[in-house]
Amino acid sequence: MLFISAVLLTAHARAVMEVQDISIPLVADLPELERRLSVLTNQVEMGELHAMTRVGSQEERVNVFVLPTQPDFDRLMAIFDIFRDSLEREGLIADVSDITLDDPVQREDLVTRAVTMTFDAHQDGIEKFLSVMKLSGLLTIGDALTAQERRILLERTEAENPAGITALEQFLSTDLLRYARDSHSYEQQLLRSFSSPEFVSTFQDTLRLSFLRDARRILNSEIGRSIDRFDLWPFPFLIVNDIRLETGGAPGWYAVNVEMDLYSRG
Amino acid sequence: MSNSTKTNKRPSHSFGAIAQRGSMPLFIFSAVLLGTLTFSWYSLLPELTTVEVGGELRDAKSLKSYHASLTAQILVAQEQRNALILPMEGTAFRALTEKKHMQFPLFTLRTEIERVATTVRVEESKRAVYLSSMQYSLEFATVDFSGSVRNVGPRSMTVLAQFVEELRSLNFVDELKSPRFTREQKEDGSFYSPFHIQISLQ
Repeated sequence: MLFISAVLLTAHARAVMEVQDISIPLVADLPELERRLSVLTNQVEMGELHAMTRVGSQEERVNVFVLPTQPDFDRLMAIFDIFRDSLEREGLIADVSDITLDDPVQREDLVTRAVTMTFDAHQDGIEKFLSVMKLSGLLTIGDALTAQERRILLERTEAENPAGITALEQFLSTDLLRYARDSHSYEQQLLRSFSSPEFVSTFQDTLRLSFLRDARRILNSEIGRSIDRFDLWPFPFLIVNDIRLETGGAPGWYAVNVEMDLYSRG
Repeated sequence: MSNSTKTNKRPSHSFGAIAQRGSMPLFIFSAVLLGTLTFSWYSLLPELTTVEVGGELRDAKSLKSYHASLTAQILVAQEQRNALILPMEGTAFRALTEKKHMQFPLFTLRTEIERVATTVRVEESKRAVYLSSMQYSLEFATVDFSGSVRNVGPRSMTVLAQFVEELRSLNFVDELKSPRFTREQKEDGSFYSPFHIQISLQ
């Protein structure tokens, strides 16, 4: 009996220790986890409802313009022409070479073609060129933000107004060109769902520090207006692979040799 | 007083006798202890160690599995929500977009390298490090740049070594291939050290 008592006593001690080491910390976490799950489930339901009413999916536009099965070279050349004309007028670029296109190379599901060109440019012109290249292939505000920037906005939405997810979803799926032409009204539309200074401050930081600022600047300039006028938006997907800068004759000027990859699906 | 000797006669306490006398209290103690512990195990302990969560009474083990299941459900819901917020998750398009965002900005690189080049000098002498070309391979995350160290007389190699050390300390530098340290002389007799440096980015 004493032996059984000792076993039971040990079991008691173990049970009490489990409460102290496991149950108490878990119980402290559970309300927050349950709240988070409920918020996320509501957000998913609202998101699904909104997604059903969305007209024209992003996927269709990606397949037609951004990653087509057969690249539209005329469209690509027209984009480069607009870029060159605009920067030449601003006196930021000179001696733009012909653009050469290499043979296609299969890379997993995608096909790439190397696009090379040379030009002389002021460093402001090179910065604009790189911003235009970074813009290529991006469609929406959400695409222009990094995963980290989107995560921060989502966390603030969860904390402040979980129902505001629909407004955030609408904002992130806004076309970049449309946003750039009237950024204030799109931003105000989102801010109507979130009033706290914390959200406003996070949101302003995102607008100021992300690529959205460059995207707005480019698409709101002469280049953006021409792109809109000639219906060249969105751009095909280009990624700069290699860029070589040689110090030029005048201060701030460089001889630039750039190689990009043009992506397509087949 | 009588001169008699007193002897203390103590009864002999053999182990058997002690066990015989103590067995009953020990039995009673053990029985009471066991009874109390059994009662506690089935009645008191569950009351004290279980909590009602989600409409159910849960002990430590059950709480652990409930916690794990909640965490897993949160991850699934989070993925579903993110997929709704940002369509085309997991596609080639999204992978390419992320690749774009991962690229290190060229002008941040150039500005930082230029900053180091202008700060490395000998006392109050003129600028010593000049960059002539820079090649940035975004695919391989490497930067190659060339230039020369001049205006510092025969100390050009020392200044070049200082420049290399300063570059190594930049936070985006993962690996730096040291240049070939040479000192050459121009027609006018001045010394200079040409260099070619390759940096792998973090």
